Amino acid sequence: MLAFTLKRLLSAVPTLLLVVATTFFLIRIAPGGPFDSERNLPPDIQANIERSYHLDEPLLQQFGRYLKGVVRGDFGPSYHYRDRDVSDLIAESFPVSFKLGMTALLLALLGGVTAGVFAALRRNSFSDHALMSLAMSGISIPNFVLAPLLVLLFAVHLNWLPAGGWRGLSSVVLPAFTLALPQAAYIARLTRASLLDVLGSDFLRTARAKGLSRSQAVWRHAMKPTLLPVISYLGPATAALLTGSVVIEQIFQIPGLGRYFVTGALNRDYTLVMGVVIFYGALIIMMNLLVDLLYAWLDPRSRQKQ
Amino acid sequence: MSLLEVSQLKVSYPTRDGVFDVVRDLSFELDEADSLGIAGESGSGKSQTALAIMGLLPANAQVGGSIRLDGQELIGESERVLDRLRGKSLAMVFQDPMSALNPYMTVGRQIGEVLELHQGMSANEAAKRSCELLQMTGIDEPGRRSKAYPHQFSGGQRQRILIAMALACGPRLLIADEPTTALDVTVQKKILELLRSLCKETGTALILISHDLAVLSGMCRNLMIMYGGREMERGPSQRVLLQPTHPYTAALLRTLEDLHGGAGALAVIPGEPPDLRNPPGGCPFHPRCSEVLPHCSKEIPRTRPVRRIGDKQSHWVACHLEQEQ
Amino acid sequence: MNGGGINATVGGRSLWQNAGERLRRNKAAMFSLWLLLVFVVLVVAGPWLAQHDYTQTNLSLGSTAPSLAGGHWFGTDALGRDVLARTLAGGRISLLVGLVATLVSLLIGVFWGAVAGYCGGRVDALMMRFVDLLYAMPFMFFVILLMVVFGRNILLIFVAIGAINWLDMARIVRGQTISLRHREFIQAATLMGAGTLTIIVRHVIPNLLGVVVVYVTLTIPQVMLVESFLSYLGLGVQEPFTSWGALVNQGALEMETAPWLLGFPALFLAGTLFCFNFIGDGLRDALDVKSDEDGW
Repeated sequence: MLAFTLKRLLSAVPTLLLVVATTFFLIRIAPGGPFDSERNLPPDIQANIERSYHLDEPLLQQFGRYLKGVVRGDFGPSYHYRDRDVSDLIAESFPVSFKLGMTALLLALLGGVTAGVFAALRRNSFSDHALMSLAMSGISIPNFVLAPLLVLLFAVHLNWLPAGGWRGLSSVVLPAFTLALPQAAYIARLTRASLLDVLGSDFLRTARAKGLSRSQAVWRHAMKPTLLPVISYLGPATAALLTGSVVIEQIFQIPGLGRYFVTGALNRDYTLVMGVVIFYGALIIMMNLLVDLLYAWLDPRSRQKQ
Repeated sequence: MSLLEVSQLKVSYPTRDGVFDVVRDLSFELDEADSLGIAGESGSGKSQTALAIMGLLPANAQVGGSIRLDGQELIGESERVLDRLRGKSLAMVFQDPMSALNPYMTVGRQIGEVLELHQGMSANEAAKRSCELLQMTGIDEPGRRSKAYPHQFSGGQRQRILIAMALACGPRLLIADEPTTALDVTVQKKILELLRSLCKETGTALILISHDLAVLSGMCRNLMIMYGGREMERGPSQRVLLQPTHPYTAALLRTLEDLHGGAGALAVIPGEPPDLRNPPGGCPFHPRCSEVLPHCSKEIPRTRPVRRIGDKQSHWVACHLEQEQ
Repeated sequence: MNGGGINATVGGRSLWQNAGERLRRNKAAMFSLWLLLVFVVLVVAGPWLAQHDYTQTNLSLGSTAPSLAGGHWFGTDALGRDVLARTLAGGRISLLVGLVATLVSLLIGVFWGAVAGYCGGRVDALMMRFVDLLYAMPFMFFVILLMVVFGRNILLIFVAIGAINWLDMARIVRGQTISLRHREFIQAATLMGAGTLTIIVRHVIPNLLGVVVVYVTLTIPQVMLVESFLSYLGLGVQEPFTSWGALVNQGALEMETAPWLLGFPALFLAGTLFCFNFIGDGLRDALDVKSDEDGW
């Protein structure tokens, strides 16, 4: 298990490197420099600015410098927010996004798994069909369509919850719910399909033949294999939540990292955008790593294979 | 009173294209510590019969007739009562040992679970007893192996584990549905030998299901031949094999002889197994029967005793030919 | 738990005929199919259908509510542009992006998966390692990065979205190819001396059709979602063009005063995604395609 952990940790390194390199060179091959859009500056001032950001050095040297910084957690200064470091911006705003994302993830898991198990055990019943139609709506209605509608209903008309901002528990409800819904819907469908698969398996029939009641057989024998696909979905779910939070934070005016990212993207704040992409990339890679370890720990077959 | 009395058993499935019967008018008995082999091609209804006895047919199955264990009617009995019988008085070993064990649980736990459930053992007692059971079924180093997962065992070993699990609570009746079909030929013999000796030792009645007449005749005192969901012929194994009365039994035996005699081309029974959605009228075997009579397609033959001069054996057949003679 | 189900043989009907019949019995899928058809006809015939040009402004008629009499059935936006015309025009872009980007991902994915699955061994291992590597990337963020760097170009959107969605397709196709490779007819073709490429084109790809049809139907809404997401953030389709995502974005800004600006485009977008998802699900059940995502 230890060897497996180390191996997986090591294999994450090239992926991370690829993320950093792709991000870096993508920005550098961009037509025009980061300061081209500003008012026409005298050439010597332009050169001065570029020197202060090390833009005058050869490309590889710049990459080396950047990589060294990234390893130390330093993404350089922001181009847009002068005299602020990207790392500071991330450190300041990510906790907000983390709280929002974790709340949404827990909501999605709890709601999705419960709904999926419930639907599978009552296959083809009315509640199964209703839940699965609901799940389909969750997948089909984009976040940014649902969010304004919920704001209109709960904030503007009913006045139960704040329409935006980040003050107190009540301001987390709408954004977390909106962010969680598509993932909950996906997890519900995944759980249902997975449990139905397990319910049809030979070993569950063996469990019944031993004298276990239907619910005993389901709880003791079916839950673990049912949840394994859900666990492997946690990696993609994290990626989807991070992506979704970009638009959710925008809509609900939440001072999280996603909002900085969009502003950065619209302002062509290259270092900020690069920093966030690499940071989120590392986060997703780490989550995938965690999932792999969890999976290996739960599944005796993959444990032995490693 | 026999241990198991099945009478007029009928299993059918309603579908969009109409109801189709997979088992019809099936009646037989099995005594304490006795053994019965059920033979037939796939689709003959033998596995459905086994699942009906266990009460483990799919939810959409309709069951009719009567199944009595020690005089207790099982059809229509509540799930709670059946749960108490399954694993305790009634046990079953399934066809594919590769998928019949839970891959996420140690085999020791899987055997121990039965003991905790029916005999109220503590986890420790159950673990100890499951080691003994593994030992009994021929698994070496049971202490260590009981903590292993199913994928760490070979197919034959897994079937041994399933047999240990089935016999854990000393059932009155064990049903083994093609227990060796998925295994290597060399392993098959050992598993069958184990089944026979354990059933004999513990006085467990055995229903063995197979498509292989040779296997059944060596293992079971009585034999039942099924076709198209119906019983064709039933009697003491030696008698059925040496004096087959039903043309279907005779045809099956011919394929067997050719297989072992190696005489040129394989004898095959011409024609296809019956389409369950659209069963032929009369005797289900009549479209393939070499001795078919005009009324075979119209009238279902009744099961009647085969009587030869000075004969007292209980040998039954469902064929119009027997009536003619 | 469905001990020994019944497999009665069905004589003489092809896989596709059976699938078609199963699909016809699926009410949700059939309803979606018809609704989608209506959407598509409306959107394609939009320029002839709408009485107004979608870019034509009329400041004296700014933000009028929907009315049949006024000639603006879906109302107008702040600049007096007809919302019906804009919704239909936006739908053209959204659907076009969905189709073209899916086609791009289909081509890459099927080729990659079929080659990896057919060749097997080291080639397969290497190709799928690459897919694994890409799977771990924060793709949405790369697309945003691309938009930032190269400007908001509609062609780039096609390629960028298409290029990220091929991974699933490649995995699925690979899994299917491997199982197909072991079937007799492929082995027979090999024995008869057919070349690798011929076998892939003639035998492997046609047999993958079922899986591919299902995943294409399910990829289109995913792609449309990505496009609308980008457009919503202001990083996608730019004026004078518009798409459903961009319209929803503009509508959300004025939803309290002019809810029709949000409502109609949102309805069209969610409705279309709904239809595609239901049809895809129905096709999957009808063709009995199993996802093979843990094949690697």
